[in-house]
Amino acid sequence: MEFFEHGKRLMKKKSLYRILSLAALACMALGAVSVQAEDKTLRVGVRGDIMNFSYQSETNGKYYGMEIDLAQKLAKELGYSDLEYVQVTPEDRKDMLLNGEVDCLIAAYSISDSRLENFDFSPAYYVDDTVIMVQKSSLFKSVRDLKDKTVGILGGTNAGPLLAIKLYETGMIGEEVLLNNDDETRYDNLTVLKLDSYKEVSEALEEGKIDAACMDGVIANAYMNEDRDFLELDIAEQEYGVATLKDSELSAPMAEAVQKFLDDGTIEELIDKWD
Amino acid sequence: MSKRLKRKAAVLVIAELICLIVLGVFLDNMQVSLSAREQAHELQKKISPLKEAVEEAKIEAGEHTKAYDVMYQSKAKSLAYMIQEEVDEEVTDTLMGEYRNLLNVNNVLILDKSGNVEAKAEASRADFTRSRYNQLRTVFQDQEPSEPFEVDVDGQIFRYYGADIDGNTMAVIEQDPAELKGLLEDTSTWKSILRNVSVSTTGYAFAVSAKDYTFLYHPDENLTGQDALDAGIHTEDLEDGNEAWVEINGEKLLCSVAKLDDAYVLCGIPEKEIKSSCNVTVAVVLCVFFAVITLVVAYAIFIMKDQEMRQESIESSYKKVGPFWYNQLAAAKSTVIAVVGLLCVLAVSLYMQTLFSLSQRSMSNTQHVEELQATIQRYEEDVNLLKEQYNTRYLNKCRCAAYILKEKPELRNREDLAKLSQVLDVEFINYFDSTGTIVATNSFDLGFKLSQDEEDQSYEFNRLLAGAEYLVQDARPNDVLGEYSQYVGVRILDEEGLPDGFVQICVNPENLEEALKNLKIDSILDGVQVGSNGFAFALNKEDNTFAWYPNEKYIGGAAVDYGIKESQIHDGFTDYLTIGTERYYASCLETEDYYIYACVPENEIASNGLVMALISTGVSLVFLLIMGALISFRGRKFAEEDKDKDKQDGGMITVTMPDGNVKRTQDVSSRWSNATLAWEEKTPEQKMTTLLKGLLSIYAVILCAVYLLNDRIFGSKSMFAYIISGNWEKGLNIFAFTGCIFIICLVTAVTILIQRILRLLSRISGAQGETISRLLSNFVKYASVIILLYYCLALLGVDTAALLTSAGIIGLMISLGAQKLVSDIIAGLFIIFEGEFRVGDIVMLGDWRGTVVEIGIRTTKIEEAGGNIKVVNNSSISGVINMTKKYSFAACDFGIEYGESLERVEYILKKELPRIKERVPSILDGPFYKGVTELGDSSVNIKIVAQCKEKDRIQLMRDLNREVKLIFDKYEINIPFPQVVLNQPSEFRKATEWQKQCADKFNEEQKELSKQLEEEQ
Repeated sequence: MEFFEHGKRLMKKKSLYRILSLAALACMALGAVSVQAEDKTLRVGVRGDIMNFSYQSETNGKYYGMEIDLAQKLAKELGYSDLEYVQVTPEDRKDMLLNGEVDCLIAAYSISDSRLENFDFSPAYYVDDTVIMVQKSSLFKSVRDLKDKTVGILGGTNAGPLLAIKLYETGMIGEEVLLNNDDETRYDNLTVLKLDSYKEVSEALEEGKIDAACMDGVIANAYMNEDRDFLELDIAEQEYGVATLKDSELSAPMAEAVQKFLDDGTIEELIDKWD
Repeated sequence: MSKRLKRKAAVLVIAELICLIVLGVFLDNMQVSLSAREQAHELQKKISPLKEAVEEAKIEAGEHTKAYDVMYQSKAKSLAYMIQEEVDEEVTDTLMGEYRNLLNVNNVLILDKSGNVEAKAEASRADFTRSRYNQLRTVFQDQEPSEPFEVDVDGQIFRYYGADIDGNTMAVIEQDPAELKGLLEDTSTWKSILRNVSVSTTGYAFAVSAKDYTFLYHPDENLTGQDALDAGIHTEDLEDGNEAWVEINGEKLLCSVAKLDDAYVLCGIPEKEIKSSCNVTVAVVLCVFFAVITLVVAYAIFIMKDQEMRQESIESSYKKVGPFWYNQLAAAKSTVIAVVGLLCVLAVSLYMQTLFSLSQRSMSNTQHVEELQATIQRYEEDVNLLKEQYNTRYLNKCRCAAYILKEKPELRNREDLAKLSQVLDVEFINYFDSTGTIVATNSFDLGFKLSQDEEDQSYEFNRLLAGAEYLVQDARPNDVLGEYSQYVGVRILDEEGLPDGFVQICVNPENLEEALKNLKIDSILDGVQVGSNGFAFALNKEDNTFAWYPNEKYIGGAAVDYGIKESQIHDGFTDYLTIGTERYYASCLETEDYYIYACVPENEIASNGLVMALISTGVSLVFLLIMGALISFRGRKFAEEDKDKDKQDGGMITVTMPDGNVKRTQDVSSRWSNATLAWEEKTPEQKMTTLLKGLLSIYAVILCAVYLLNDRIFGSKSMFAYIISGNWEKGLNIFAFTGCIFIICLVTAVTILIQRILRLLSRISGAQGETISRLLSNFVKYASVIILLYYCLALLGVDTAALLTSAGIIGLMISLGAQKLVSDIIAGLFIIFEGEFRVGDIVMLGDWRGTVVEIGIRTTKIEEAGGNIKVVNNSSISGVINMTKKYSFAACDFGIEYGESLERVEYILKKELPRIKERVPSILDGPFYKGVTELGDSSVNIKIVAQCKEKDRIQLMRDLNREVKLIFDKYEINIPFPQVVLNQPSEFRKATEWQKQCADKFNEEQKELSKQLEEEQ
């Protein structure tokens, strides 16, 4: 009897050990997973100058906007514990990503063939138009009025080439590029002036240095006022995607996460929120 | 107190605290959510007029801009005209400078078609050849001045106006639009629209840009332009028609949101404000509930303790109900308190709800009328500003005309003047010569001569002939058409600089007309919404007729005819008033010409007050039932437990009330003594009264503190401050009532404090000091009553000053007729205040002994032992002996024959007196032999006294007489009496034992039967 009791106790002890060791194993497994996530900070290249998309508050330096919210959600989805915003400009964003200064770009970066050479893009989370903005006082009513005029763009964006292609298609300008340097591209019947910032573009438009400004819709909205107008011309649809280095580890999960947010309406919600 | 009772008391106290906390949390949540809902409703009402205001502001801005542009276009046209007409021969930069000064603009330029500058007053930074300036070139096609546009070059903004000169050149005016911007700043910016919007008492309106989420306007200047998201606003909350709790720098606001153009406009009320009024209401209701539940619990404990002390058996005080034992007495008595308490809770919560909803309404009404006043003032300022601006503009036009007509005399003909007035955008131009006669005009007044009559409008212009430089007349309505027109004149000097006639223009100041129309009271009050169904109206100050009312048929009618009383027409009035058949809650404000009222229908106020009050009462009832069950039931039968010692009955005696109830009252001698009863000696009722007094005094002290420190606790703009401020209407209303409560608490607290101090003083001073202290204490009491009466009457709207002055008349009346009555009443008041005797006391009034049944304001009723009631006028009550003492004594004198041995009698008494006590139970102590009182004519008189209760005294005297007679008989002690011996005395027969017994019995029976026929001695 006594022996039996003892055996029972032993058995109890054994099973206790088993449970404990299992728990320890589980902990280790969990720990391994969390260590992997904790280790990494997602460095996201963002613009910081596009209202409602991603802009940096002057007062406290925080970023706000749809792309910022999206970046947060993506980081969480991908299991990153920390998120770092790195401000990029249209000129340097390509190099920043190539040099590994950022892990990905969520910076109103449109998907284009030339960019696909170096980068992987997630599915587009936002579709935007490139628009032409003019001053009302110039009395320009259509793109045809821009003949022999100057159009301003932000250097480094593909708005200029896209416009030129479109205008070429309509037959307004010739095929020939008369002059092309960092400051301007001169076509037959049209000059495209490349300026340093959107602010400068807007100022040039205000003063009349340029006769029209060509930029992405979301950006143009921020510079729109009642004295300005958009000219009707479907230049090109810009599809914004999250860019990652070609064939990097992040590419596939990022694309999946974005696709998930597209499917479950998260992105729609964000766009609605910041609309 | 037994252990069981202690345990029960502890359980009860804990249960009470739980009830209190639960009730507090529940009521607070309920009240806050109800308030928030109500406030949200109000906020929605605030938002829609805001939309209109924004629309109006937009229209106004449009009008201002239009007027501004028209003026500068006309200047451009004038410039073009002068060059066309070649007023001056050569177009040079110098001439342009002159023109610039004449036209009073920043820069004038002459451009060719492609934008090259031909002449200029000063160099412009603008490159007019650029397509940016294409707008100017429209003049060549339209032959009309170009539409204005603004260009910002390096931060310097100019507005451009062009006018065609000859198809190849154009006149351009470059103007810094600072004046326009300033005007727009004052009328159509978010700041100007939202600045004057007041939301509730501490709420406000603000705007957030929908483009970049910065504050377009916030009352806090530092926030304007700052990031709203930083401050804590969430983008999700910013949706049109939304209602949300929004946080701005840590301050929570209940906001309603509207999207107007590119901005979200929010009206918000701080959470603090919503909560503060709720907190006070809930706190007060909780205080009352606390008092009620404490009293119920304490009373029940006192009763049970009392039961334990009396060593009452369980069966007598407990009844078995199922498995439980039920304490009947405790349940019955505490139920009474609970019911009264519940009624108090209901009354108080209803009162608080009404008080706060009315004060909220008052404040919001007052705010509305103040806003209206501000609007009127703003309109006046606007009109003045507008007048000034337009005067400058018209004067400039007139100067232009004068310059042109001086330089080119050949234009002084009807056709050219017509053309010129078109260019200058004026009605017509008159050219007066030096005699004051119109020599050229495009109106029909050719040959008109300035009047020399001071009354006439044209008389003023004589000043121009006398050398004044210019004259701008005020706009006046045209006698014939009623339209406004305005005349402006500028003198013309001849070569030698002497006045040589003048040019007069006539303009039609449409904008001014519009502004003046807006200034009228009806356009201001029309559409004003107060609450959800309220409105504003105005009375003319002179004759109290309706200047404006939503229902047109009232307008012009006398206010008094529609139910408004004269007393309700004054500045600062806030109360109910009746218009037609409806009752409104209204506030009034006096302006220069009007009394402006904001009012809401009666039924809109305190809609959920009753609901809240009923809910509070219902929940209180539930808690009280729970407490009741805890109090009156006990689980099992208990063994006899250790009992405390018998309590002392010090100072307390039992009296029978008129309705047969037996109550305990204070011994007459202890009533005026300063000593208070020891706690243990008190009955449960007295303990409860003491507790109630304690609670009341604590509340009174809290109220006093609140009254004195309200600014610091609640802030100067809170509802509480309003209630205390006394700025409400004096009369029979809830505010006056509240004011009375405050005053009563304050004065009573002060009085009691002074009395306590005096009592302390009297303790350490001698008899003289004691008397003075008592007198002072008495005086303080009466003074406080008089002060209270005076203030409360004043608060309730009685004209106390008139009351005082009419005191003389009252005095006369008293001395004439009502003297007796008044003295009765005053005497009655004094009896009550001084407590000479109370109901239930046994008193001796003259030779009338009886129990006090009632002390009335005029008479006092005293019931004698036989049931007869004597009614005594209070004024004739004097020399009262109050016999409500703890012990009385009965005293009887007995005569003994001189022949009898006194010592034998005393020996017998020594033996027999204790037996008397045994036989007569009403004797409390004694009887005592007091010795020989008198050696009388025929007897030696001795006295025997016995202590008893006052109510037994008379009967005891009879009993004593009987007993002593029996003793004397027993020991053959003779009581002398006058006797005449006629014959041989026979043997007296002794009573047999049977007879003695019968006699005893008979005696008892008779006494019993005749009890009702009691006769005084």
